[in-house]
Amino acid sequence: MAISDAVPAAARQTGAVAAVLAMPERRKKSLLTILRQQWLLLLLLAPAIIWIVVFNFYPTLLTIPMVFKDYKVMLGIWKSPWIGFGNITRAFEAPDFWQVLANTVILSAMRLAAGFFPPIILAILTHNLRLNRVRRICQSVTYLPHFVSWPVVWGIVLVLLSPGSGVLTTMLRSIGLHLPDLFMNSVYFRPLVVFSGIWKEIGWGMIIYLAVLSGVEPELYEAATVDGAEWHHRIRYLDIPSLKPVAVLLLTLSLAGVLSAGFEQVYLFLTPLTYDVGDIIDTWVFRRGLMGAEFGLGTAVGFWKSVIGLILILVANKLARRFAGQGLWGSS
Amino acid sequence: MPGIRMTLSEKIYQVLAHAGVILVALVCVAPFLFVVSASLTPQAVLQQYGGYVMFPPKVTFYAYQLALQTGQLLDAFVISVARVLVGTSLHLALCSMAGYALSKSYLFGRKVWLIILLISFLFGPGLIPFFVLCRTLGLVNTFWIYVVPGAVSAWSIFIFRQFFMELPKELEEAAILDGADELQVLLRVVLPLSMPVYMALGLFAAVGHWNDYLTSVIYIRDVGLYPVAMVLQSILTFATGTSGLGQQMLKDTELLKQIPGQSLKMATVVLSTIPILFVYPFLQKYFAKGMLTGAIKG
Repeated sequence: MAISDAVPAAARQTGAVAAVLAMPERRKKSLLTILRQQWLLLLLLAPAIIWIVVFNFYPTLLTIPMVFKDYKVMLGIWKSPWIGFGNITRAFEAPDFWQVLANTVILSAMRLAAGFFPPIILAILTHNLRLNRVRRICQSVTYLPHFVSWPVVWGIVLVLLSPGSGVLTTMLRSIGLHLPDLFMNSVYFRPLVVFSGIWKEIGWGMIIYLAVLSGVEPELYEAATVDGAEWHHRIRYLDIPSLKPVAVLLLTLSLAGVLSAGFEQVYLFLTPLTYDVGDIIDTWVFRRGLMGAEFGLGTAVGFWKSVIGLILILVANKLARRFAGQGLWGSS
Repeated sequence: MPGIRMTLSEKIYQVLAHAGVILVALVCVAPFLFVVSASLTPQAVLQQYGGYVMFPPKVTFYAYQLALQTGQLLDAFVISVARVLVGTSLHLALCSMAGYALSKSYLFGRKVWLIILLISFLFGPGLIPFFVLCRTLGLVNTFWIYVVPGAVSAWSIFIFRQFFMELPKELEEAAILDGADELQVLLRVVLPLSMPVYMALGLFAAVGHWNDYLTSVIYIRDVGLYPVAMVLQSILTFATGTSGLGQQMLKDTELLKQIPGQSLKMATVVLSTIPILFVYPFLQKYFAKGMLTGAIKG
């Protein structure tokens, strides 16, 4: 139908000649037709695609000149001189870089180690509760912290633990225990970050596991109870096997985020006194690279973070496919 | 199951499980009550008791008066509300438009567009190139930095696309047979049916906008452009003496000339949390459910 207007009727009837003649015209024409037919859809899509090109692809490409040039704000990116691998080697030579990398990985590992199981345990406990009302209220209350901002969480940490007038500080003092100032000491930084993180996300993390458990056939639970299964049988042979695939999936996927240990939270909790344990890649790039105007260095570190992050995502995806698949198989 | 009699060990388990879950729920909620009580406790009482008082003998709203008097918090509320409204609408508009286009299997270049989206999902620019871009575009230290960088996300587009793909095709076909053109189908048939997904993603975006303070730390120098979360951050980190990284940017803040007391800080926490509490029932209705279906399907 696309060629019908442009190609003369006589030419159309001469078969092969017409086909050859029409070929280039047909392609050109069909693009036009497509535009005519789909202009609305393409118009709807255009802003998002343009946005991605401008705000995602372009700055990603910008990384290259920024890493390999000595970027001077006055000169602009394109006029700044090329310097080769200077920024990359400088990143690895910076004495605190390795410390920052270690801090990031340790904090992520601690978050995983301490925060992975609590939502699962809570989901199992919550799912099996006999009193429906208790179950519903508790469930809808535990994810309130997920929706408040990190500054609010920091405020709560202050009200609980601040040296003079914290709730816990006061309570412990009344039984003769004197809490030290937890905010000014490196020793307490990681536990503080990890536990306040768990507090914020435990209810939210539980939702997906509860969804899985409520997807299990109720008949299975009834049959198990009729067969005399105790609560621990139920947990062991019904709850855990059904949660395993999702848990393994989430665990492997969280590997991909190892180099992002929670910028928003850590920035808030961090003080110069706790840089030695609390400074992570993101805060370091922000402070040194952006505030300290070491743009090339900061970009190089940020670039490696993105590259390693991408590799980790792809690896995690592979792992998840393998292990979650295996998990599914094992539980059925 | 309630009809079946419980064994002793089941009974013990149930009691302990109830206790455990209730304890966790209390731990999640109680701190908010502590914050409220601390915001109402007069400084004098605090000093008199030499510590925290759960039920202060005297209650004062002075801290709230003070927080609202300085004016900066009120300005910040205006900024935050504007940001939530503009940012959320922009996000929903752009993402749903793209999601709708991509839900059509006959869309020209569909594979290419999807690959572009996937790449943007997997690989993002670092902080500094992004900052340089924003400065080139003149977004730094303007209101637009709040709404433009978050306007599009591949994740939201995919959720919209998933939703639109599951709408029954017959509805659109019937409307076209009735003589509606494509735009009318979109506005009269598809849009009204899509309110749940708009609500879910809209609330997601709105809460994200309300809670974000890091954008202001990185891109905003003008204190007058601070949203509530950022004002809260500056009040909290200033007074503890744990001068956070952002401290250096805040030296000239009017509000910070006097060191805010505990009650002022906590009053600000309460004021900044109240809007979240207002939308919480809706969050539960749309957001948790939306996440659920998204999670299971995705």
